[in-house]
Amino acid sequence: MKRYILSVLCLIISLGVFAQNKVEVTGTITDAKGIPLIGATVTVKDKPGLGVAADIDGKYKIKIDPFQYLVFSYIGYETQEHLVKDVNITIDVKMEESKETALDEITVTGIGVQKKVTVTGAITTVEVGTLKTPVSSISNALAGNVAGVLAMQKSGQPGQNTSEFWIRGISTFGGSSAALILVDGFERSMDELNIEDIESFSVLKDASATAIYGSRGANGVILITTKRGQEGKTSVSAKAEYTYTTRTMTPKFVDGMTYANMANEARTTRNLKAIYSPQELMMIDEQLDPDIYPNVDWMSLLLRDGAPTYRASVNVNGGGQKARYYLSGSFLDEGGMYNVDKMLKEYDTNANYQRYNYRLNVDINPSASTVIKLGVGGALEKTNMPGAVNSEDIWYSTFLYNPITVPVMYSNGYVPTMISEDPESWERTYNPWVAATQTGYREQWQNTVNTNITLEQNLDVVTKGLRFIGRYGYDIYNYNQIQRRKNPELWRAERQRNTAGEIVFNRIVAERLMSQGSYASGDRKEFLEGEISYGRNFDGHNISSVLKYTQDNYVNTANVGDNIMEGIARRHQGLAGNLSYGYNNRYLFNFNFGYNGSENFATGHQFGFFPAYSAAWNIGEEKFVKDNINWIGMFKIRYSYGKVGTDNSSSRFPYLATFANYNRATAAGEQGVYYNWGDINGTYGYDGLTYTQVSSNNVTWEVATKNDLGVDLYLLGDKFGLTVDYFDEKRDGIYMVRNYLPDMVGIQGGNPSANVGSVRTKGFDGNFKYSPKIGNVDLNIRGNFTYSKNEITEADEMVNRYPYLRNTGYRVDQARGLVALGLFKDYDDIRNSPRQDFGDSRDVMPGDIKYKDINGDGIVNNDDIVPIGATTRPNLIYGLGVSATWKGFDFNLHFQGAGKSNFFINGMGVYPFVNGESGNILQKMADSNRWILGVNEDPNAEYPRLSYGGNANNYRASTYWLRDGAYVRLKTLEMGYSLPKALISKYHLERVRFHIIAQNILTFSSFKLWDPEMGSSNGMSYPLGKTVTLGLSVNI
Amino acid sequence: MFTKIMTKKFCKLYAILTIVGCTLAGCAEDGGYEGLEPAVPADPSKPVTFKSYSPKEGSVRTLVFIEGTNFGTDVSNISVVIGGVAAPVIGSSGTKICCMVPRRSSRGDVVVTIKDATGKVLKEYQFDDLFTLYSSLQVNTLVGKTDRDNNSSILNGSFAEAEFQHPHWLQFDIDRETGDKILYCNDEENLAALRKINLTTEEVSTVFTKGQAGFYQVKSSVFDGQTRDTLFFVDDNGKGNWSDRHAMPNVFYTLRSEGFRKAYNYTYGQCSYSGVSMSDGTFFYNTWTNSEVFKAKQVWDASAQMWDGQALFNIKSNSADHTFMCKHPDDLYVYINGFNGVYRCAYDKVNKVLISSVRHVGDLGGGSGYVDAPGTAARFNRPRQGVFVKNKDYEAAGKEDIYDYYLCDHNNNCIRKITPDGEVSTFAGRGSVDITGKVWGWIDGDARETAQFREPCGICYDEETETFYVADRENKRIRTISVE
Repeated sequence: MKRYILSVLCLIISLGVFAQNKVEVTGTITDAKGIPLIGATVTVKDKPGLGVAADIDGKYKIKIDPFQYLVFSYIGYETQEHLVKDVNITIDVKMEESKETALDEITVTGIGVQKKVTVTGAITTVEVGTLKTPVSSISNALAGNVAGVLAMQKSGQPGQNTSEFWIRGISTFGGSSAALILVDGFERSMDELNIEDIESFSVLKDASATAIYGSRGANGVILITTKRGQEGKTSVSAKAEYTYTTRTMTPKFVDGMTYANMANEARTTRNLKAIYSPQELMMIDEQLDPDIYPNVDWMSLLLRDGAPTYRASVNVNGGGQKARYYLSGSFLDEGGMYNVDKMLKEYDTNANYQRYNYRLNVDINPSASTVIKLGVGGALEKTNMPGAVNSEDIWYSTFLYNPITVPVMYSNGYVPTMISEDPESWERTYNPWVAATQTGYREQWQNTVNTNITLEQNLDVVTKGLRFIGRYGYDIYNYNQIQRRKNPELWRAERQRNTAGEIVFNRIVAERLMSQGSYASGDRKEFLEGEISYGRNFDGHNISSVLKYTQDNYVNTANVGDNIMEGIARRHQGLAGNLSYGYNNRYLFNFNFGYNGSENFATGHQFGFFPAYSAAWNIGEEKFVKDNINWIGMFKIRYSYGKVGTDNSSSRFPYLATFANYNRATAAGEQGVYYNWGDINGTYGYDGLTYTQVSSNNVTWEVATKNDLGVDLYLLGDKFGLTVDYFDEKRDGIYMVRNYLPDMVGIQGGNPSANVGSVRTKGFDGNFKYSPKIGNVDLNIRGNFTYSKNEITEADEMVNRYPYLRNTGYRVDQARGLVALGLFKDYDDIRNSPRQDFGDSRDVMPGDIKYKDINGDGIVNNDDIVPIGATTRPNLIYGLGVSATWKGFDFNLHFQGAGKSNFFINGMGVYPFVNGESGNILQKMADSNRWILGVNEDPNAEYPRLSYGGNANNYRASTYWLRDGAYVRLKTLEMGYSLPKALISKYHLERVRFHIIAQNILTFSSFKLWDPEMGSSNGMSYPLGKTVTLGLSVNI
Repeated sequence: MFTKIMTKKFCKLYAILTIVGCTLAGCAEDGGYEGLEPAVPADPSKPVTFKSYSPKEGSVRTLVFIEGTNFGTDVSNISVVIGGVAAPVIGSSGTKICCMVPRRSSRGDVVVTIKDATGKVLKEYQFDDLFTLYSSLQVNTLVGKTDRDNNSSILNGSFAEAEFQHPHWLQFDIDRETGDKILYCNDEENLAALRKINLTTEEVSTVFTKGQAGFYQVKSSVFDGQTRDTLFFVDDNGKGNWSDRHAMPNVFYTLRSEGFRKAYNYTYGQCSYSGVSMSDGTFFYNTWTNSEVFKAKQVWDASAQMWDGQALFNIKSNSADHTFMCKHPDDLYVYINGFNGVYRCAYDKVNKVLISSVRHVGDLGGGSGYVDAPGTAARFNRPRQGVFVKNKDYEAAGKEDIYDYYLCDHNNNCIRKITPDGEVSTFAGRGSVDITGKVWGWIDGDARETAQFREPCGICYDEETETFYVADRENKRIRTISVE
């Protein structure tokens, strides 16, 4: 890879070298105050690669051909050009600081680059620098950095540690709620992007910004553009980072003695015989017989303290007026957290992830009015993991294996198992050590190639301001997996030795030698766009319009089997337009529309028209404000209204019916798929051709009607900036299967679908920044927040006499459970309370959970389940950051938080002994204020009376087990130091910066069992990473 | 020239990055399973001291803990002798030794020997306190072995060598010539071989194989009630229909005079599971079809020129099951094990017929389960062979029926005891229940607290030594239950 980059580089550089009669130019480059600008560059216009840098005194010397323009440039200063004739001269240059105001800030929108001041829609432009944290996927940097995005990360496993995110929350329960992500204009994944390649990142939130995406923009749109070559001398930047990853919170389990004592307690407190005799407890305590009474800490056996990640990237950019290039390559190696068996040399079982990225963006001007842009980018990803099990399985088994049932290894070398099921059918039966190291290995490769070519033709010859752009994109992706799995012989010893004192072993599972399996999938995408735009300014009247035709095509290229539907390409076609009018940047009007179609729907329901209107009033541009209130830089009020759709329904061609020749011998799950001549659910059926799926002819996209009211404010000479948006959206026609059709309709299975649901979402999002300068310190304080609340206004569901049992009127994915009133105090308390009808109500004892009888019928049962708390996904995300730069030092602190989320905890870690011997107990549970007979009979204890083998009364969703998922974390702490220019310019270097970044180092949350961000109900997930990164970046 | 500069720049850049990379890459990969903790022998430079041991009393297999210092953790250098018999040493923490009270120790002296790494005795110590050994009902393993995967074969030889495939049915016998005690064992549920276990000479041999005898699927065997010179074998010949009753024999017999080596046809009939021979020589058998009980050789079928049995009654009407008959030693009645319980059929000694059955213990509907309770409240799961054993208390009390019935409860993995009054209790097995709730396995020890069986099917009893012999089918061993 590196060699490839180098050779291409040399090729490009060598293009500009040829000899002629030269003139010599010398001089000094200073700023307005006369201080030399070390490292300022002097280049020759249109001669890429030819240039020098000013030395420590600001002096330069360059030999060039006569009659050329010299270009003087320095970051943060206005570029100057000077003509050199055919004599040696001295040119001293005084450079002016470049002044950029809020009015110059630009925003990338769906129809191109636009000045922020003229934008009327709700668009968050993200400073790419804030996303450049050492995470493998950019999605992990979104939470708390980007106003309007709610995100959560569910796993920390390399290769799977991406965040799920939703723009302005979830507004549907039918189709997908995922945003449309466009990279360089086309729908692509952003997970495998090299962060260093990103030029701009915008989030389009309201209807006006997304309407041109018509039937696909309802969930919001993310626009990413990659860097392109800049005219000027060749610049190279490289970055290397080393990251040490530990975990934010690792679940910790009790030791053997605590487990055994609690097991005895759980049984005796429920009038069962204790499991461990005092003698056995002593043997566990003193480890007198570690084969039969071991004491294993599975978690520390499985996990390393930390894992390393290496990342390196290099990019080169430069070029001249005729052609410019941007070339980059990067490498990422994320190490897995599992321990490996040192005896295994042949292969790696750890969960590693490696990624190679490359990108080449070339812009060519064949004529003064034409630009051809070519982009090729790609990623090769390799993921490694243990052979027979998924990461969830390994975490499951760490929660499954208690410390004392089986050792890691029997003393005779036999491999133990606690579960007698064959792992071939249930892979979670391996003990964690075996699962992670002894089951072979699995390799996955993902290969992405994105290609796009753009032609931009300026049609000023026809009429000034007219432009044509044509784009074509072609992407391929493929995924391959090879699994090589095996397992050792698995044994379990009898609990008693035989009379000779020997262990009696039972072989549970036979050895399986390494075998191979494979899987592949892939897809191909093609995009074609044509766009005509016209924009012109007539005496302050600014008119612009765009008309755009798009079509795209997505087809699965592998593993489609004999399913014809899977083999057919998914296609969209659309016409989109924009018309905007602005007067002196003061009054702005905008009309957007998308007329888009999807072939997933029946003819007549394929195309839809999605209009959006928006207007903005820039009060800051009014004369009376400009004249009287000079501390207002920009003050804009904007409003938008419009419709956008989404066609991302789960089923393919819902308008087609499917048939099959079923008979009554079909597998149990499909019973009833035959002609039934008897009563409903009767068994008098006849075989024959029957519907397996009834057609739903009228199914079409979901439509979101969105309102957005926003304010953009820049004050105090643009030191303070604020953007706040209020949004109110209604999603109608949510795609649902009609599960509640009356039986007399006569459909048996394969119910039709329809656009029936409806959800209303409201919320705020916004961000501010304040960048004062105190002495030599440049400060930047910034914050953002997103809050969204939805409510189902209509859903296909049963009528219920208790309105709280319905979905309508509550959030999408609302948490539901019983209302707990603490623990029963004594038997009188139980007798005087409503009967709790879970399992045998006579089994309820003091110390068990007491529930509220919501409907007052004297019985607590499933009719008393009410909406409690919010949803697992956070409905509020916020971030607050401070950064400062002083001389060469820079410092950045970023807090991120989430709120309005709740989840239930359950599973083996917090429901002790729910499955008998299967299940480990969390240390925090054992140490908590739990109810203990005769010791701690606190009716408000954190955990109820123990029970053995499950407890139908206690172990069910209720407010007792509902936890608040709110957290605040110190997400990023970054310190950097750039070496002084004076020092490095001797070595022809432009910038050398060292940095340390710490991520997720502090988490504040009321929930302590595992990382609250994962939203996990049982903690059985690869924990999120807590990282410290050392890095070096060098620019030449 | 410029190219040169750039190339130089790259070299520098590369060098810097390489150095940084190498410095940071030095991350050790420690952790994971490091192997067994090494066993450390006692340290010869330090004194070995003994404090005490506990408990001071108990039965065979009691775990005894010996306290002191500098024992080392290597059990191969520690020996404990209780009453002159080596006690298995299970583990040592250096300050505590865990060992197990051995079988066949008669005295109570406890002697501990600690050796160092070279095998040199560091200290031999006898405790002043004697260990008091209690007698208790113990389960032990008599004969049989398997490989590590619990596979076995029909292998003859000494008790140390012999193997059984699936010992299924036992008959106790005393050789009339040598006086040796013998167990005849049907190996496999469908008798693959009749095995002869000589308890006196501790040798296992094969009397005949299925092919040699010409059997189809022999399910059980029974001695004749008069002389015990005839051993009957009852065959599930696969002929369920009445019309097929003459196709194959359903009962065979062998003779003591021939060493039980040669099988003769006794009766032809429908497929049968067991038979019973009363003291007066009357023979009854039952069929699978409709669980019918027949008196053998009563009806002459002139057309076939063969004897048919006389159908007496159905054990459970319109129902079929594997049913096994066992006669009361005093001919008071015959028990029939089947339908997850036991039926009792009185014997009419005058007319020499069995009288229609009544449910003695177990679910009336035939439901399975495991419940110790009187009469029909008790639950069984696939009862197999049973044996009557005289209860001296009943005898002393002058009761008419002085025998308890011990029954192999196959799928409950235990031996049940049924009193004449119909009280059901668990006699042996289902001990050592750990948190999995697993009740089966191969564990010897106290009959109720510790021992486990794995699908016991056959049982017989030696009155002289008061020892039960159990055909422990899935453990592939013959187990004993006796007081030690």
